[in-house]
Amino acid sequence: MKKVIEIKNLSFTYPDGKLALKDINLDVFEKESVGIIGPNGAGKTTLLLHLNGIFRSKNGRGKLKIFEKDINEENLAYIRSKVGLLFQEPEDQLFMPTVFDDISFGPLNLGLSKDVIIQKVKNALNDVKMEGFEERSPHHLSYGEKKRIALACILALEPEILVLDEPTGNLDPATRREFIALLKDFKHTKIIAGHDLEMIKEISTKVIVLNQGRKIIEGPTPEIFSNQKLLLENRLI
Amino acid sequence: MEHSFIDKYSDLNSIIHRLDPRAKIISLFSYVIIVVLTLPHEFFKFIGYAVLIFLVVFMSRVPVVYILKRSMVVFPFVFLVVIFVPFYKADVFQGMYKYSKFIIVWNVLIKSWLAVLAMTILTATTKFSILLKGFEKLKIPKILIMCLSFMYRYIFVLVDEVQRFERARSSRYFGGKLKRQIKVIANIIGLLFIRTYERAERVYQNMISRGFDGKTRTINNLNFSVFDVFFCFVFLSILLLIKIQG
Repeated sequence: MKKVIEIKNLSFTYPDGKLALKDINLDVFEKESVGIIGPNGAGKTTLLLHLNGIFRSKNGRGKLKIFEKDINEENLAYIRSKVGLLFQEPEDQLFMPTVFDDISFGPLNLGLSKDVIIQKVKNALNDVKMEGFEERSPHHLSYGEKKRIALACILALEPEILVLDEPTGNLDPATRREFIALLKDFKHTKIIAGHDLEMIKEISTKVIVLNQGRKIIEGPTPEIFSNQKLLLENRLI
Repeated sequence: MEHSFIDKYSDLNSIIHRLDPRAKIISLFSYVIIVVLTLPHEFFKFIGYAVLIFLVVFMSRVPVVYILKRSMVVFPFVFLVVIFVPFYKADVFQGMYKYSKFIIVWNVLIKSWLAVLAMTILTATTKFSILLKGFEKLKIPKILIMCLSFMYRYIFVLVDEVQRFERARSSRYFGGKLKRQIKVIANIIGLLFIRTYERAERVYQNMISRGFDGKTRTINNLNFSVFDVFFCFVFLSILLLIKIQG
């Protein structure tokens, strides 16, 4: 199996001095689904932001390779086109006046031609089952719809790795169920962080537990979720 | 939560709605300039301008009451001018003409009202996103367009946020001295600023994660048709005719 993400001794400190990640090691292989769980403030989001090169450890501590490439100015555009990052809050992800403009934002930055982009937007909307929403304004959508469109924005870039931060947060039960079914259908390599343990259990093949910026354990999903003591210690039940 | 949108009637279907935004921008901005350049005592010309703009309003099928209501925003500004009128000397000279106080008020009132009417028609019949595309094609700097686009996208999100703050405050409000009240409101404003700042940061993270590199790129799906040329030609001809003939 091909190793798509390789993290070695990654540490990260916020500008205010707060240590967010400490010596994280993680390997992710092609087509794997990795769940990241941990209490509030464990460093889940910080870790995810590294995968897209938004946060980079400057002082040379730790190594992060994606598709066997270091994250540097040269590779950044390539890596960002391969790693699709779905943020927690769809309101922040939909920043253009119409759904079409939002979804086409990524492909436009890749410098694709108009016809290709129109087709990509269409395909992406199809993938999230939101056909015909092109001219709608994001502000008028429901939370669930916003979440789907935000996902479409990522899919339009045709990434190979999907990085999802709390994909089911704030969704009503039915929308949540549909969203999980949608995610399960995707054939990408997936990295999913969240507090929705049922969702993680359903989608991921491998789980890592983070607490206070440290990786506590990594293991197959059933093994982790059957370890009650571990879950209790890490505030997960 | 409910908000009023400036492009509330932009989904209607009329000749004016179907026009290319550039045609409307060029026509209506020319209208404003010509109106402002007309001398205040040429009353008949203003009647002509008013007839022309109302013709456009009727063609657009946007309710006249709505347009009139929106155009009222101009009156507070006119009122400010009126306040200072008593302090003027008896007559004011403007070039070779001598104007009374009444004419000065009339001048400000009619010109600003007609100008606002034109702008109301522009925004009421054009989707904001399309309007921005039109401005962009007319070579308005892209960074400015982007600012406006973000403003339009997030202004209502901000209003919602303020309303939530306000609710949280009033649910724990049991009266208090004015000084304390002001302090609380000042805190809310400060907090709102920080939240906006943080949101901007998250939006920027979103943008760069989707390949943004500082250049704004857009797809051109506007089409300046023969009819747009025809509309501009007719509108500007009538406008100039009124201006010259009076």
